[in-house]
Amino acid sequence: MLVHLMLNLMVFFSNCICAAWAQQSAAGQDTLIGIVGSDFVMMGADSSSSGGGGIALTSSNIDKIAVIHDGKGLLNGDRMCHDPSAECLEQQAIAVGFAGDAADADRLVGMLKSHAQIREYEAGIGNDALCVFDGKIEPSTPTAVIGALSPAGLDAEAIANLSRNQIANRMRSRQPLQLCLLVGGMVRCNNPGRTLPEVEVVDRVQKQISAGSAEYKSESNNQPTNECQSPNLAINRSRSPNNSRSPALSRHDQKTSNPFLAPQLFWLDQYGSLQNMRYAAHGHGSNFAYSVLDQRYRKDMSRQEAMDLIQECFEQLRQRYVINSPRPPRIKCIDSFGVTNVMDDTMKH
Amino acid sequence: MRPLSILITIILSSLCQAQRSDPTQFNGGSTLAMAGRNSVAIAIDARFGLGMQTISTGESSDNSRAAGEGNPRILHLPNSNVLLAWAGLHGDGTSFAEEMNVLLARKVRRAGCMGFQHGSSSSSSVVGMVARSKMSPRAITSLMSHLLYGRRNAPYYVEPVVVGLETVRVPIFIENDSLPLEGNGLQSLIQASNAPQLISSQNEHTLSKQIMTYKTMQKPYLCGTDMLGAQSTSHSFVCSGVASRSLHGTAEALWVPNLEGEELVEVCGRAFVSALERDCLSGYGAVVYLIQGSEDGTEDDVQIIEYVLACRND
Repeated sequence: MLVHLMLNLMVFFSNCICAAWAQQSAAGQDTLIGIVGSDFVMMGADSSSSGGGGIALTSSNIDKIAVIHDGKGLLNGDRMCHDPSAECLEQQAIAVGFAGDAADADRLVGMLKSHAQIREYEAGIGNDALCVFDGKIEPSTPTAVIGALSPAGLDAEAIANLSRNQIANRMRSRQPLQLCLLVGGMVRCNNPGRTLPEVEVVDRVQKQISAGSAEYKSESNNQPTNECQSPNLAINRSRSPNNSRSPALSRHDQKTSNPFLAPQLFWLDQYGSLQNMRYAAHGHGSNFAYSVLDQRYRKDMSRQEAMDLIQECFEQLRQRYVINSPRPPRIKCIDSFGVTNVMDDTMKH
Repeated sequence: MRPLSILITIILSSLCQAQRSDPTQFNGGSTLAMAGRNSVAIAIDARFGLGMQTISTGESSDNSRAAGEGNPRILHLPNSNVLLAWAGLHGDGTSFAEEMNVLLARKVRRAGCMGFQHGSSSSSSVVGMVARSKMSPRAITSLMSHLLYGRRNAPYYVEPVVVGLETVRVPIFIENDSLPLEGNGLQSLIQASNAPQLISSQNEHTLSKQIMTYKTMQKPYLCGTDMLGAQSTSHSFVCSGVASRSLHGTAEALWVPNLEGEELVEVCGRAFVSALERDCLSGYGAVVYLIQGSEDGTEDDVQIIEYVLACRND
């Protein structure tokens, strides 16, 4: 009878353990930030690692944004998607920012890369075989042979759902994946004519902030200037024009974007949730980053504006986050041209 | 006795810890469903968070979807007379949605009831059979309970709610003094209606005949299940999610029977938004879906209308 009681208690115990783990995010000390712009996704990550929550920084040049697919064809670097009228059926670039357990991340990212490559191969991208039907040479792109309207390979949404399935299946096992991800890429959208609807919550927040600060400014005209009048924002605003314009960014800003491709950003956490968001962040630094992003995000930002916004988030972390990241963050831009390193270790802070 | 008391102490302490971080309440979210006379409404909110931190309020970067479709609450429309929604742990909710999708698709394909009408239902010549044109909400609830209890040892932390209009056969009595008891008239009446039964009640004072026949109508169906699949149906309302205590209160106070379409939406929306005023884990937008049956309760003309309400942003 006691054995039976203990068995029941063990089952109950395991349930309690399952309930008790829902406390902390797996991405503790890592910070990941992602922003969707007009025709790109910009992702930023801090570059330091402390071996999963220790007190000593073991490394300061970690690249936490893994490129699952660089978006270039196997044979030629030139893509067809720059032409706005082309229906983009080629594999687009996908990047995954990971935070949390480094071993789990490494394994999952390796698996995603293999899947992307297998699907690309199966779809015949980069295949230089010419198909001849009845003596007539068909156009050499494999998409003409496939003839379907479905995009080839895996896109960012597929990668995000694949990761979610892996995380959700492992969640109740002995070793759940302690991993938080941001997946970004260009996804082929079905009705290209639609414009992005207004970001409602961000608009409401910004209206409240401007209403509040307008009231505050009218009061402070009668009083001596208060030092608390948002000094951080003033500093950030003066600092961002000093960041040199990244040459990689201005090259792509003027291109007309392909209406068939839409930038998408997916947020995944270690409990198997998946959210499609305009801007997102992971880690303890996300508490600070969300505040800055809520205030400054606009839809259809240019690449320079998005980079400035991510810089501003990391600037805020440098001021207020207790964990110091000595090297500059890694910032990458994912668009229809591929993945561009906007800021990495070689650039000055 | 000693090991037992130690075990009980351990269990109690871990229970306290479990209550502090309940997985069902970790991501936030609430739903409320109400029934009217021939319509049902379900209200869902739009907050997704990690405990106290709000992560997403439903604006997705996908521009091929409508403005409200990034809603974090999981909502399913299997056919035109059922709506499923659930709150709870979002990862489990998505996994459960995938399982339900697979099983529903399989069952629907096998039963051949895709929701397309093949012939009119009154042409069924078998007594007692209503033509199966759609999967009923009761059947979907049973499937859902089965799936949820199948994971008894490692349950999905979801609290589903099923609303819909189910087809029931309601007996109606026709009093007609002028009907002849025998003859061709009666036979034609029997053939015209679905499975009639003749009940003749002979009164001492009058010779009135009552004919009982069946009429198929759509009645509202509401059911909420807990995370192990225990069903609780109701004629008035069901609710689930983090604000369910407040929702029970406001819905009980505001619900009256026999509400009509837009009235039902207003009552449901008001109860929902009032309860969310005091709850910080739900909010950021409320959407009410109304399944409006037709006036006389027949199966055609079922409409599903979406109403977007303004809600508290916290």
